[in-house]
Amino acid sequence: MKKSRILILTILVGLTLVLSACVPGPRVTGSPGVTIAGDHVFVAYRNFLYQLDASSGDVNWHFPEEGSNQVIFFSKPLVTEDYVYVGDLANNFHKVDIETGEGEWTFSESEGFFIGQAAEKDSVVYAPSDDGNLYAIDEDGNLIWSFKTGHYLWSQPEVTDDAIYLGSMDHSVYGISLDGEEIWSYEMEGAVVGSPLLSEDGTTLFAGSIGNDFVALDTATGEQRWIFQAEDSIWGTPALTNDLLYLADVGGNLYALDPESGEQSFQTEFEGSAVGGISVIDGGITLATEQGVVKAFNLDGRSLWEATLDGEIFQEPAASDEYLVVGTINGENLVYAFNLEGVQQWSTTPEN
Amino acid sequence: MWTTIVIQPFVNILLLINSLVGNFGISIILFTVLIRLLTHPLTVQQFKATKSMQKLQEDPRYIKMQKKYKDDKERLAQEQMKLYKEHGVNPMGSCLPTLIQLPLILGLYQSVIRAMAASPYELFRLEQIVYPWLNNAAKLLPLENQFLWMDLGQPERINVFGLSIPLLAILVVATTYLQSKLIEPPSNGNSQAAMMSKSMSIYMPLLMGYMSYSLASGLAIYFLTSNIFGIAQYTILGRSNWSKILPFLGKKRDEEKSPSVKKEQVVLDSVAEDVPEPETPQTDDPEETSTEKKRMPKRKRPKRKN
Repeated sequence: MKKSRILILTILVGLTLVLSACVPGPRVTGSPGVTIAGDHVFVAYRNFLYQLDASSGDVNWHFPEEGSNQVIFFSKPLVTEDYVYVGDLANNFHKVDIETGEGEWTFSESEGFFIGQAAEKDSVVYAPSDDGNLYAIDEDGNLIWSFKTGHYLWSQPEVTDDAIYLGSMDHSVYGISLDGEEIWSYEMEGAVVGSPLLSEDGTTLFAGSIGNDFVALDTATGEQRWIFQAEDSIWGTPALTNDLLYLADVGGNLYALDPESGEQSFQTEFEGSAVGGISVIDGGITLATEQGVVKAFNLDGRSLWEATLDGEIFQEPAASDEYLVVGTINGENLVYAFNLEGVQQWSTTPEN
Repeated sequence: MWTTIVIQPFVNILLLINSLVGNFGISIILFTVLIRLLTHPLTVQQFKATKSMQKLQEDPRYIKMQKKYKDDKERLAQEQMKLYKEHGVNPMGSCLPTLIQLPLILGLYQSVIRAMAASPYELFRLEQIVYPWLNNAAKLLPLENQFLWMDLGQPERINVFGLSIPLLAILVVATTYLQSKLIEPPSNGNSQAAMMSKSMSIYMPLLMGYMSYSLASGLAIYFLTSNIFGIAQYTILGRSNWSKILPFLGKKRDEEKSPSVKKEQVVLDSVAEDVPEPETPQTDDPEETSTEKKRMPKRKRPKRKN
């Protein structure tokens, strides 16, 4: 009898491990969220948020002090002067001291994961959640208001003095007042994964969707100014520099558009799928492909350099004046740093 | 390979159903029923094989050899094989359909997880396996995650008077228990199979309940649908033993059958007397031999005709 019970228990434990893929807690696969600010790199991955030294990759601190399998981080951290804001897959959103890595408060009113990057303006933090809500949280961690959309929120909101602009996985882009009321909404062809981008004067909002469409919208009314059809789905955030709008699709196309008219200035093909967006560096732009290649182009779309990594990349390189940092999954290391000439400076997998 | 052969077609069928009904919760239910219907012939085959095996295990010769060779496993296996051959029963007959069904059920489970895509990474991987003929993939993705009071990507809880109750997990525990009780074979004393079956009916609901409590509610819906389908399937096939759950049904049936049961018992005893003795190994132990002699049924010597 004992033998049979042991056999049954072994079978059931094995079955549990197979079905739950050996991971207690949220069963979600994601890529690291990476931000660079000044001399520090912030990496949110698995059970911790890490602060690394940008020149060496050494870990300065990690949050929380003790990891838990119930708490998973994938969200790109938001870094302000004194604090780091990051959400997790246990539906909690945290404010962390940038110097010490100690938690200031945790906001727990969400009923969904935090995957999208938050935004901050005038001490109010806007945290997008998978329960479809954008939460406006005050500096003490109290909810001011929430704005409900129809699906996950994976992109970072754009915040101005007058309004908040938000892309949702419900296929819409929203204009919201600073007190959480909808001003307008615009329906795209597909879900909006990448963050919308404001023009320099703040009167136009640019947004792309996985339905291949890329639009310029009037920020006051939400009316379409122009539309551009990419050859494949657009997952990442565009970039605005040199009076041109740069965007990439997952079919390996880099486009440069006139932000005023939407006319195509040029199109360049590259190998791979750009799931993340575009980052601006001095004299050029960079992107990373799902296949693990970091690429730099000059502003005319000519390739400057590329570096192939062992792993997959799902976010644009985090760029500063000195470094480009990318997070990978299924690779040898988790984080890789390059100088702006594409020479690898360090790579690391933070240990706790 | 596994993805191309099993996961990809399953995911695309799931997306197709979703494009028709427009609700992912209902799509999971319909898809689970569809796959279970497709594997129904295998289940029937498995039931038949199990039934003939159970019948054989009730054979007096089988019971007798269990006792006789309880200390000689090798000999017991040989004798059992002889009996299997004699009755044309394949001892692996009930395992094969299960082995074929398992990858399909695992594929069903994995495709539900894939389709739920709870992160950009997972959604990108999902988009990559959508067939080109399902050309409005961008319109379909991500799938609607709200079903009734549930967020299908989150563990399910329902608020009742301020209490957060895992209703789906409770239903999964109840239906898993019900299902395992209904298909539990009639108790055969202290046989190992009966013990295992009893243990399974305790541990399995707990396992499924824990998974439904902690994993996304979309999976709990799949577990629940699968259990309800299973219960209905066993009942339709006449294989469910409701008297185990509702004892009064059993009593009623026993009362109706009681006279005939007695009759059957008599017949069974007489049959047992006529069963030829399996070959017994020669033994030098006088005590064992004498016990065997004592156990031999007494027969009346036929009268000589003058």
